[in-house]
This record gives sequence, structure tokens and C-alpha cells, in this order.
Amino acid sequence: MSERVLLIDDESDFLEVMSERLGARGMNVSTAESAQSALDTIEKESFDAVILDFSMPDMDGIQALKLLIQKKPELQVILLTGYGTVEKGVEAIKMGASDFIEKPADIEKLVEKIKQAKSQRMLILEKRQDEQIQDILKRYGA
Amino acid sequence: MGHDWKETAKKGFLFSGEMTASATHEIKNSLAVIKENAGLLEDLAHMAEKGRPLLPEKVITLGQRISKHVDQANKTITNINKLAHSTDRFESSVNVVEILEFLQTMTSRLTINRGVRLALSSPGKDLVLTTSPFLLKQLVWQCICLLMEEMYDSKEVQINIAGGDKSVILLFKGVAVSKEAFDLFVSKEANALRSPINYDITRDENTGELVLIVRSSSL
Repeated sequence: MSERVLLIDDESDFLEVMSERLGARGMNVSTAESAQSALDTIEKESFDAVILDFSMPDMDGIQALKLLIQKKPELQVILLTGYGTVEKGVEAIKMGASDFIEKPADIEKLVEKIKQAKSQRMLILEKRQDEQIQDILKRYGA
Repeated sequence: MGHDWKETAKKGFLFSGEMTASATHEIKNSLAVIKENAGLLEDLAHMAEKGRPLLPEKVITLGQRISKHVDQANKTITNINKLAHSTDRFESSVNVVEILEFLQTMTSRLTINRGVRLALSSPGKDLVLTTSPFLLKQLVWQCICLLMEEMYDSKEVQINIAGGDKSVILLFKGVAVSKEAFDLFVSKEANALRSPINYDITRDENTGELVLIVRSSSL
């Protein structure tokens, strides 16, 4: 099954071309030009990976990252940015980002990271499901 | 007591760093778009090898997009070069209108990130003074930063420029600055530039808006 990806960036030219390139690699891509629009989108759809630009017009990347993870804790967010400082990367990982890539990125490297993010998300969801089953079994003494 | 040049230098380094970081970020964004468009051309060529037709209009669109972002990056590089050369001489003839247009472009990422739009009302003519081009840019940027800190409902900083008698007046419209914030700004931020630039800054008591009057250094 193809990976479902949400691309968040305020540069429409970047969104357009990146969607096309990831789409050509078999991915199902949605886009958002603002953090708020991304927050609305994740309410309605689920994604294997979110590619988030660090610098957004309505809020900074760290704030957007926090809100995205707060809404969907299993979300795998890969930060993509032109800032490129180690400190920003470390801060993002501490805040819950699954990875950090500097712009301009290598498309094959990004594809690989999206696939890793999908596997990680699947593990989290499976673990959560196992816990729920265990909980039900315990409650009904089975 | 003499002027505290150490503080002026410290603020100058901070300003340089902020402008350079903003410019390189813009350049990286343009490079990312250029790289992905070049990559897409490559993808399309590989698909054409496998029999999928390559549409000329698609190639034209990608070429135009690459060209647009090369122009954007070039504009940013020209601006950062202007900033670097504004320290060639401590003082020179400075067109204040050009300085404001420069700041509007150079700081666009920094203002957009805070949801703020910087609007200029141009006088339609050059307004020239003899002053430090670098420090004047820094002073105006510090004023804009103060306004962004003090913004609540408004999301726009409107700068009206007028030529006075051997001076240039900048009216920062639309943002009311509190007296406390203004006093702190004058004693700390703006004070570092008090001696190198001939200027006065006031706060309208009724509206809280800032007025900056800059004069040639020889006056």
C-alpha cells in the first residue's frame, strides 16, 4: 500500500513539485500551505508521515510540531528546513519529531525517511492495539 | 561619559547575523525549489525513455519556475551584498527610501514568520542624507522589532516617509507602543546608536505611534 504523506510548506512552488516527485514514487500526497490548515487536515485524514517546513507564516515549526503531535501522538513528523542548524534539529527531535532534513534535500533520502516513518507509525499503532486487547482480556478475565 | 561603542558593536553583530540568517534561509528555499524542479525534469526524462510522452508545455513550466527562483535567489544575494558593502565607509550619502525598501525585502521572512506585513508609503522621490547606511538600517529594524513586540490586534506595520528640512521623518503607523516599552527601548536599544547617528525618536502621546527623525550627521 502506498505511503500517505502530508507536505506542509508556505512555498507553493515547492509543494507542487515535491508532490509530483513523491507521487511519481508511488506516494499519496496531500499538501497544506499553513500550520493551521495542516492541523485541520490531520483531523480528517490519517498520514504515515508529515513533512513540515520549519518556517511557517502562522506559527514557527516547533510550535506547529507540538500542536500536530498533541492532536495525533502517533504522527511521524519529519522537519524539512532551510535553517540547517544542529541546535534546531536537536530541539525538534526533543519535541517529538521523528527526523530532521536540511533543504535542499535528496529525494531518495527523503523517500527512505518516509518509509521508515511509516514502519515506525505501524509499530506504534500495533503496540497500541495489543495494549487495548490485553486490557479487554484482563477486564473480562479471559 | 563617552559613547559605549562595545554595545553598538554588539548590536551591530546581532543585526548582521539576523539579516544573514534570514537571507540564507531564503536562498536555501529557492535552491530547494530549483533542485526539485531539476529533479522532476530528470524524472520526466526517465519516464520518456520508458515510453511516456514528454509534454513540451510541462518542460516550459518547469524551466520558468527554475528561472523565477534563480531571480529570487539573485535578488536576495544582491541585498546581502548591499548590506556587506554598507560597512565599506562609516558614512556616505544614503537614500532613506532605498534603505526601507531593502529592509522590507530582507526582513520579509522574519516578519512573515510573526504574521506581520511591512507596508511602505513611498514619497515618490529620493530622500538623501549623509549618515551610516549600516547603522541606519539597524536602527529602523530595531524600531520595527519593537513594534512587532507591541502588536496585539494589528498585523501590519505601515511606514510613512517624508522629507523634512535636511532630515527624513519616518512615521510608524498602526501600532500603539506603551510608554514603558518605549522608555526601555530608548534607554537600551536605541541608545547604542545615539552617538553614531543623528536622530530623534518620539512617541505620540495620544496614539502611542513612533516617529523617527533622522538628520545628516554634519548637522
